[in-house]
Amino acid sequence: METLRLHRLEKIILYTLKQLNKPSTFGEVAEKAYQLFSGVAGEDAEAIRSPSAVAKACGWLQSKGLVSIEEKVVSKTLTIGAEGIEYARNGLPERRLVESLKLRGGSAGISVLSQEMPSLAIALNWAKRNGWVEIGKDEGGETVVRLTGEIPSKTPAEELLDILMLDGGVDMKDLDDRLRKAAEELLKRQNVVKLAERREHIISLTDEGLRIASELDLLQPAEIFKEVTKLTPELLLTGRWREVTLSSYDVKAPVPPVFSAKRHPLTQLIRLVKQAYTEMGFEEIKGPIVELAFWNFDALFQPQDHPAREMQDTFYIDTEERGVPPRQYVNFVKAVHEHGGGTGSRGWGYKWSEEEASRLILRTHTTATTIRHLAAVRKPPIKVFSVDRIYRNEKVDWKHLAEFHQIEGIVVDERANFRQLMGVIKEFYSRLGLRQVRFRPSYFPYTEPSAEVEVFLAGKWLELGGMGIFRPETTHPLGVKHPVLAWGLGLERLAMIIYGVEDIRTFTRNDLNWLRRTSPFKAYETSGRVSRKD
Amino acid sequence: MPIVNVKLSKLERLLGRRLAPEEAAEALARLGLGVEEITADAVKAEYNPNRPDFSSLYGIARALQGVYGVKTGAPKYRIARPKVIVTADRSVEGVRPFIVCGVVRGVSLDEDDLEDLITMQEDLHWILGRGRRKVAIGLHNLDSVEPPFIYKATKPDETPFIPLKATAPMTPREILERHEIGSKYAHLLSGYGEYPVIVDARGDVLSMPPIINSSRTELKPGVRNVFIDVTGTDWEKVNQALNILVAALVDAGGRAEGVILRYPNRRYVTPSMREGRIAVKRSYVNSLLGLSLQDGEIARLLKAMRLDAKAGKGVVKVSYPAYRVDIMHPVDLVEEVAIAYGYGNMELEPPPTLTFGSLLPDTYVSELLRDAMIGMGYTEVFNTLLTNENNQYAKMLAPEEPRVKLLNPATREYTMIRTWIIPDLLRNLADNQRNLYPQRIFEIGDVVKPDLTKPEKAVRLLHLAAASCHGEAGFNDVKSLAEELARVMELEINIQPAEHPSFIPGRTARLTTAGGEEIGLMGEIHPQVLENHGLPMPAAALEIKLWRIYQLA
Repeated sequence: METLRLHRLEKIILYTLKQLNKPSTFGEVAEKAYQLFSGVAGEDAEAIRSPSAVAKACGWLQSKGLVSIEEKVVSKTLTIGAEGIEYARNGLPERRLVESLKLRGGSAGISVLSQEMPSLAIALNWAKRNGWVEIGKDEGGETVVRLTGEIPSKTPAEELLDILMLDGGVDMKDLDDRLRKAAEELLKRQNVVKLAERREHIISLTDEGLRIASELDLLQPAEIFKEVTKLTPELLLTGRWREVTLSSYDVKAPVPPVFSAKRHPLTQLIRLVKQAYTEMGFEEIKGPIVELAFWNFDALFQPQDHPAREMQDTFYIDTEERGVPPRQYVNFVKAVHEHGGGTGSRGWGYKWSEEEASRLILRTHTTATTIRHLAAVRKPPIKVFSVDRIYRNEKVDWKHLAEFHQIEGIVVDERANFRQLMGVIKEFYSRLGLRQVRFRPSYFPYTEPSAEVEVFLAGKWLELGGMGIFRPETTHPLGVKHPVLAWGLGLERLAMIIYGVEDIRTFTRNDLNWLRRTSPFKAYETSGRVSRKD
Repeated sequence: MPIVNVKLSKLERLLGRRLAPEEAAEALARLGLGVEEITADAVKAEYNPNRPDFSSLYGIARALQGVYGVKTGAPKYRIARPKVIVTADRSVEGVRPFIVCGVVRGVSLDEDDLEDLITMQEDLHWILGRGRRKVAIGLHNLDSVEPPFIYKATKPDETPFIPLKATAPMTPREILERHEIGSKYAHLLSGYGEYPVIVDARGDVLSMPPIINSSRTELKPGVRNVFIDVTGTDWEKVNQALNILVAALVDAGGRAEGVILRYPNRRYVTPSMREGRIAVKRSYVNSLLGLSLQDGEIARLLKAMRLDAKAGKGVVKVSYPAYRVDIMHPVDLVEEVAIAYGYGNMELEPPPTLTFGSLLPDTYVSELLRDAMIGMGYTEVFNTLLTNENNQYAKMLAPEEPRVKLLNPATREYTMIRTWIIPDLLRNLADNQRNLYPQRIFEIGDVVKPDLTKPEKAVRLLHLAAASCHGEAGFNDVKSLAEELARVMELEINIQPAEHPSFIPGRTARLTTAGGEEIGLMGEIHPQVLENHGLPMPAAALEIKLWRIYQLA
């Protein structure tokens, strides 16, 4: 029988409406239902009597097309607001303005008035609207306010405020035209008067509702009430659950949201990147964020007048302290910069300054960390990576960050070569699901040959990073004898595509709505590590 | 990066073949230029600063001639016998010691060409000249002046002339003070008592390097004979700039002619256009690229890159044109071979040596604690380490701490690196008032503190911070959290009453290990701090120094 689909309360309402046999209010239905069911309802009787419970169930019934609900405004009551009380006691602002002008002989300057009245703007506005004052200039050019026209001793609005102060509230129906107009004017002002509308809801059975109610009508109230909503420990302990029917729910009804706490999308992607690297046999490394110019630039054969070293590109640290470049390498690096230092290179041909190399900066690339590691380890095979923060002294906008991440890696091997460099990058991206990559010549002061990698994603080729084989001028001073394949790839640009983000600042804005909504599956599905059927 | 505008009609003439815009773009990309924009008759491309010769269409054309096999090997530049003499006076030694010059006759330049020439000049000023400091270039209509020329220093109020973009004569001082271009570059001459000028036999000024030329010598369409001066502080770089310019003007149809330079103790003739020499071993090329090319193949590929190459026994000897200022080491030839071979034509393979991957303890500690925090219903946030004193201390009512400050930030938002994370979490909560409560957030990340024992004078320290914010939030939220984290880490902790101005007195606690080491701080956020953040919702927060608990990298 269809009635089984209904909640117990819904059945009670249909049953009651059939008994009432006329369209009725929530209150009437609640009262009648109480009469009919209090005998069988026991502890739940009070719940049936509540008009709000009835209203809720009527809402369900309405959405099922079993009842219709008509809404009527029964009365409108006007009451006084906080501001209104103040005005009733001390006068409306425009009245106070008029009184003040009278005391000053009919006119006064704006500057004087504004000293006296905090709500001068409101007062002027209404006094002008009423035609009580005009604004002009005096001989000195100051703006002045003058009284004009006839000013009634009491306006309808003021009368109305008095009435509201005395009576508390009046029904709009009881006001004459003059006062009703005044009420409408006062309603336009903030917190002066308030209008409370009382509405009534009239419920009637639809044809379908009537059909079901007629079926229910054949039953006794006790039979209908045998249903319970909640399975309780008490029902289970006593075994009484056998005697009752568990009511059905509207499984489509809305419920409050819950959010699973989540990782941040960026750390989610970083985890995936680290996983890809470890799968490929790379060890993770980490290095300082506050770095010596020596490791960030000089050891990487970046000449000391290179534009990237300038203040507008690199954050320098504000300190009296000088960094301490590693003694064992300083002279080698100096020689390489100045004349090639026996590497077969011409060098940059300038006077290298240790002072400049001792400056402290925020690292501009994680290659600074790589080269430190290289100096410490030297012997192949080395395969290390890091995914870490780097800094550029840039203004932040939707495309640029001053702090972002680099996906860094190197391979040092006796047999390492340029084809392997491109091969390792291709392998890395394919582990993130990016199978189409291409390589273009590029330039970095510390690598040769150099390349940049482009990845085909979302319909276009995206430039995602640079790479190359460290120049002899870079490796020689550190005593590294074998080819070093090195690369630095962007993390945020990749993340923007994966998460469909247009503004790069989204990642550090931490909008909880976005964080709660962003699926942790995104990066894993893009990478092809998880995929859906068909 | 600098940009060159390649007009296809001119390029086609120089290549002697048709070239669709897309084809040209692809060819440029394979040479390492970044294509910015393709239109029906031009391609705009970024070039790398190691190739200042790409600052002109002619430099691009030379490279493409090699790619398409139209011309291979190094282009040869004949320099006619010098006629013009330039004397460098001793007075410039202290201010701008070097000048080199060249003459190119018989050019025919239209408005377009002149525009390109100015762009090229500006690019060279930047790439080689570092904003005209090391190198500044002047291009002049030779027929408007009377050689021989003198390069000398003059007093600021002497030697007036009409500079470009002016109508009346101005003294050097006036130019630096009042002229639009003069004042822009005045810093290059500040502190000097005398300023360099080039004057002709009649005493007319050609130029006031590195600031501005005289309007008398301005290049206009139809100019036939061009005089080039390059002055600066770096002998090698001024010669490089001159060679690059002369090569472009000769390729545009001119005839180069030498200029005699008389220095107090020496005499030179420029432009030299002297080719450089370098050799590369076959084994070096093959091992770096992972190819097995023969000597002859290497030589052929290098010729396609417009270098002269002679294959020997396992060695290829190369001469490279004077405009190729990027060749410093044999490794640079290896890249030339790679580009000519085509990156896209190489077979890719992963490195063959077997190695085993591993993660740092930092990563494991962070991951395990992330799991724990998420399990307790805390959502992860991610903030920059860059911040400012107002966020870190003032809004928190907290005392300032020793910290890493930035000298030159481009934005006032970033003046330091954070020393604790809780202020960032409060900022996040303040930004999230429109979103549903309860809000529970955490971050695992670094703070940075000065450390004079380190060569870089600072140290990264891993912290965990969390905040709970909702109508009922209070001390118990973070106390429960701290106790559960201690259980997760199997750590015995003591919770001691503490005082800290960011938290409500009497609802603040310090976390210590059984050994008495302080590892963290927690409490209910002070209402004044909440108000400072514009956050009308109670919050409690905790911060734990993971670096005091675990051995990290």
